[in-house]
Amino acid sequence: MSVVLEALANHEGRLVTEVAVRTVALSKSFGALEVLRALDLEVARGEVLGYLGPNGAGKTTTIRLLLGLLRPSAGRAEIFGLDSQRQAVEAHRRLAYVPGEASLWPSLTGAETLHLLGRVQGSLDPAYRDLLVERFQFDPTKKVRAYSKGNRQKLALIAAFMTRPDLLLLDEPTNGLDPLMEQAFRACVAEARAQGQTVFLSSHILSEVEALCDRVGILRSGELVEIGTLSEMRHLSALSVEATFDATPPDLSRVPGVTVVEVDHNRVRCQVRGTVEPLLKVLAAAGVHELLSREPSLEELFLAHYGTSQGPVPAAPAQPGHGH
Amino acid sequence: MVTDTSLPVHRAPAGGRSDWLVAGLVARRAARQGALWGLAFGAVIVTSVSGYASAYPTAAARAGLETSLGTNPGLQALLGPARRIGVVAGFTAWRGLGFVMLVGAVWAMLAGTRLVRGEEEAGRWEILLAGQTTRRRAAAQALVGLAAGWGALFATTAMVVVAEGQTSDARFSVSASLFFALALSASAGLFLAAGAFASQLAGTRRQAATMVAGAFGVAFVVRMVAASASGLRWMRWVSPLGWIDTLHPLTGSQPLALVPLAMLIGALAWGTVRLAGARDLGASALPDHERTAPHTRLLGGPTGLAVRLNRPVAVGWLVGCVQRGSPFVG
Repeated sequence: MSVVLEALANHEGRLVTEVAVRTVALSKSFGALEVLRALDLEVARGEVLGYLGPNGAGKTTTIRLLLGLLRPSAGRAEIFGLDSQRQAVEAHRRLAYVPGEASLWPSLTGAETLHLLGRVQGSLDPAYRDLLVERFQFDPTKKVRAYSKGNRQKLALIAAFMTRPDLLLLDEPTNGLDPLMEQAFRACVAEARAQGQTVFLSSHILSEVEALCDRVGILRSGELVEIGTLSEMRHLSALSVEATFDATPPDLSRVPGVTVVEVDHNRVRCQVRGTVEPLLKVLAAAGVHELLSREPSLEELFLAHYGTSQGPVPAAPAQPGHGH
Repeated sequence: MVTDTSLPVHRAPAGGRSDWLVAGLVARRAARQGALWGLAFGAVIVTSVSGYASAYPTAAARAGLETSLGTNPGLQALLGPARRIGVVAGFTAWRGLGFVMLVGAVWAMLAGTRLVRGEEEAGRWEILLAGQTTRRRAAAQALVGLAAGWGALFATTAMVVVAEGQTSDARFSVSASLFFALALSASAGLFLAAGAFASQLAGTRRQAATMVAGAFGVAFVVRMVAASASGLRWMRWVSPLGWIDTLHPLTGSQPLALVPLAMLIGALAWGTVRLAGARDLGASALPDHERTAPHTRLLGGPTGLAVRLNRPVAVGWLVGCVQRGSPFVG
């Protein structure tokens, strides 16, 4: 990926760089356990990056390294060109963070918590905060201890978005949100992107990443195994084809590019890589009655990375494939 | 759903007072507790003064007290060396300091570990550290917050002691009362710092509190041994609790003993900030016990489970009771 790296001065005279997040050979070990291995990653300003991986893949560790909460074993991380360790305060001024499970102060009310977290961040947009409170149907008069897990998560999300930071670091932020609130969250991310804010969205909810993100990185056992746009990544996986015949289906296993053939009476399912021409010829000659083909969903891409070798298999929720 | 008045209307300037957020959050809780304990400490002094005046109204009764309680080795081991308990000042200083020193230390070790490691363990530090601060600055601010808690403890203790000192039963000078209040709150100051320091060493609040309790136990035993025989008096200089005894409030103040105390508190604070800056969020300088081999011997039923879960607390209480009770045996 090519990104303009040079620093530019904006109209306020502040130095800005086009790279919001950069990690260089970023590694982290806890004792003998290597949690993140030589991560090289760049997120451009204004981009929404989906950071996918199963539990324990190193997603939270990456975000904590970006925040400077953990010290890297090797390599470094930068936020808008500011070193995460040495210039943490300056870097934090430009970002907001939502942890996967928001631990807040039980004795404070929602409104008090928003006030406090506004001060943690340093600034906030009160009009946008009020809009977010409405959108998330959040009652700020209750004490935190009285909120459900979903409401606590809403509180953390409102607190992060209300400050309109240049960068949002979101670690599985929709944990515990119902589908309606998930839609509200998606609207917030879309607005953030429209405003030129950068979003780093760690998730294991594939449909969320698929709907929101410009690019997707897949982390597996501490290694970034894939990164790219969804259309780039789809080429990595085969096209799924389902054909129904009037009579017995032909033998497709010898057709070039075709793999994983399943026959069910007069219906056959297979996957094809590369050109579909040889397959189409065989199908046409055999008198195909009905033909369905679709691009792989993100879930299938994900399973292609996790489902075939020794690594932990993710507990990914079943998502319907997207027909094309 | 939301009214306009339910949310504060403000826009904090970027980089504003957020630098003192951690200090404020810690101080908010520490000061409230400190003030309440200060009132309780003051109440101990008030009852000591009034109780002494009514229980020992005559010079003969007070002389008798000096030869009975004042020479009892068990009480000396528990409350420290008795000095001039034939007068109200000496008795109040001995009884008050001996009791308050222990209670103050226990409150402080629990508060110090809860407000530092406890908050980190609960995950609330993660959100604060994502703000405009660093691990090291946040630790320094937490110490400031704890210092505010100690300040509240000292201020309320001093208020009550100075007021009581003006009564006809007591007649303590204001400066002597203030020094007495300082001595009464000294152990709390020390163990608040110890709690913050142990919070850097241990991975959990419980482990940190156990560590400080262990240190307190050692200091207490050394002080007991020092009080047990005149040949061992020098040992009081080995225990920080012995330093507090040596302050001799109301009976010939010795402010010099504050020097090692202040130095130790300073060293603990310095170590807290250094260790906090050099470690990861949630990590500890010492190994934790979060992963151990399974021990299933007691997990066969509810009784065994109850024994297993309560064993550490029961052992702690047993050790504490034996320690407190031993001066009275033999």
